[in-house]
Amino acid sequence: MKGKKWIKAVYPAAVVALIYLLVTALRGVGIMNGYYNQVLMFAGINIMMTASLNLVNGFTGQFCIGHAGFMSLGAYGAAVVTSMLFKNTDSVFVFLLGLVAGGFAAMIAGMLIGLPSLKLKGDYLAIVTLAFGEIVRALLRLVKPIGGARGMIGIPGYANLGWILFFMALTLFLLRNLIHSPFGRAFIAIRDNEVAADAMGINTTKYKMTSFCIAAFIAGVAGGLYAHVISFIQPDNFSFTKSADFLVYLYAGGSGSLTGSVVGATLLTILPEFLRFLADWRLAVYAVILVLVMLYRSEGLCGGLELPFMRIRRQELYEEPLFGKKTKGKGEQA
Amino acid sequence: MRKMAMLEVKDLKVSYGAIQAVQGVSFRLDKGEIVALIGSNGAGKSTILRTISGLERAKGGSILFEGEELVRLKAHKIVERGIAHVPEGRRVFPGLTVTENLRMGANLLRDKAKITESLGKVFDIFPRLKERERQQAGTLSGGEQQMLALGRALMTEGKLLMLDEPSMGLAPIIVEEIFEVIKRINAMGTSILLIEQNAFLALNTASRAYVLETGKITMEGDSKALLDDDRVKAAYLGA
Repeated sequence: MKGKKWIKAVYPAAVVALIYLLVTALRGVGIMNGYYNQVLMFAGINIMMTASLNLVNGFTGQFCIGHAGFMSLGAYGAAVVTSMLFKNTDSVFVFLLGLVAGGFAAMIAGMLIGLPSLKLKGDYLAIVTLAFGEIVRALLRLVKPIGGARGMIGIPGYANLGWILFFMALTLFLLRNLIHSPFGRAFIAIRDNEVAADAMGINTTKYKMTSFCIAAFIAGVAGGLYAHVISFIQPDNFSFTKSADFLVYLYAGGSGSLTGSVVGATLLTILPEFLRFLADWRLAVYAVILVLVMLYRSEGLCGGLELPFMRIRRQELYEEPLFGKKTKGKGEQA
Repeated sequence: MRKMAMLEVKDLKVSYGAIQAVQGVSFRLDKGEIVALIGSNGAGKSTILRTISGLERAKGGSILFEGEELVRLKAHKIVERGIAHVPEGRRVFPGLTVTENLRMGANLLRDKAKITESLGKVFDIFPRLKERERQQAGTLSGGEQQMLALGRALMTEGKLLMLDEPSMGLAPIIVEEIFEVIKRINAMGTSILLIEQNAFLALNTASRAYVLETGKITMEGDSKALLDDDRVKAAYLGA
């Protein structure tokens, strides 16, 4: 039993490490080129974005439609740290500091817009986040020191596939454990029925804020990684179209399923690239595929499903929790 | 002087926009009582419960619970004071298991032993829930979901239990079972404020009742007396 638990804990990390080794090996023999590598890196970043959006939209039942806004704040925050503040220092620590700074920039913005809009029930968050994404874009275009509408160039290319896979795995690991903690139970309760959650004495505003801020932080870190992959960012990279992309990944993959976020983001990042041979027909075919998914799998590809290692069986939750403190009878910290 | 009521609502006013749903309602509930609010659709019964538990804001009046004003308190603070609300329409959390639903009810309790104890108590009252312990709440039948909603409210260890239409949409035999349990819960020491469209059932369960019409209380008194009242009979009992 002990050994089985150990395998279960290490298994996901091993999968990620294997992907990395496989890609490195393929690059070594020349099957994998820089272009494929970059597509994979974007897939990793998109998984982080989609999974964090899933926490808000899929597990807490709120509706955020300006996730690219947080990504842009994270990208700019990280880029300012690595290419302006510590321009002459070339170190991994600068990179990590940048990512954390980007995450916090996004999280603070999330707090500011979450406080007024999450106190209310209903779709206000959608309206506010939609506006937020566009306001961030408009504001960033006006700030001259970070390039205004031209954007920032020459961001050091710190991020590589290894880093992205690491942060992606970390995100999924943290989200999975969060969702199966008392916090996660409160999120799901709010999603399932906010009025009942209120009536049960759950401080709904607090939990909605927690979920939203965590998601914003992850989106900020993902934005930071993005900036250090393409080394050139401009405000228009993070338009509403980008936010809509994440929503498509989320709902095509299946909201309320972390596996769904991984599948949705990976497939739909790779698919348009794979379809390039169709030239002008590319986007039409992409759209048709999405329509087919919605017709035949209206809950998303993995709606309601989780891969074994993305899931902690709820039935086992109170007998033998895998990670952290025992959740048995702990109750929410209200 | 009468002893202090457990719950005392005075001149409560609630509006939705321009519409006054509750127009100056006053009533009281003493410790250990079952009090029913009866009335037809749209009389404002649910609004009153929702206002007591902080889900709606009152426009005026006061709600005293054990001498403390509740009107400005937030919903989760009111639960802490000891008022448990079973909302209309069996609002369980379908994505969580039965046990998890019950544990959500206990989310204000810190004491593990206490939670286990209440869990045992609830399973004792509803053996059916024990059988379905690990099932997702969304897969339960209507009656089981109502039992779960009741059980979840019991988990808060509240002193006052407010039930909003517990009979709604259930088969008569299940309704009977639920009302038996309600009486049992009361006998165990929890006061109950009951809202019911089925006036006959409500009057047979409660000790006192208030009749609500378009946001105002039109009659009140002993439920046995109300059962015999001609106006109540004509309007609500279909006699």
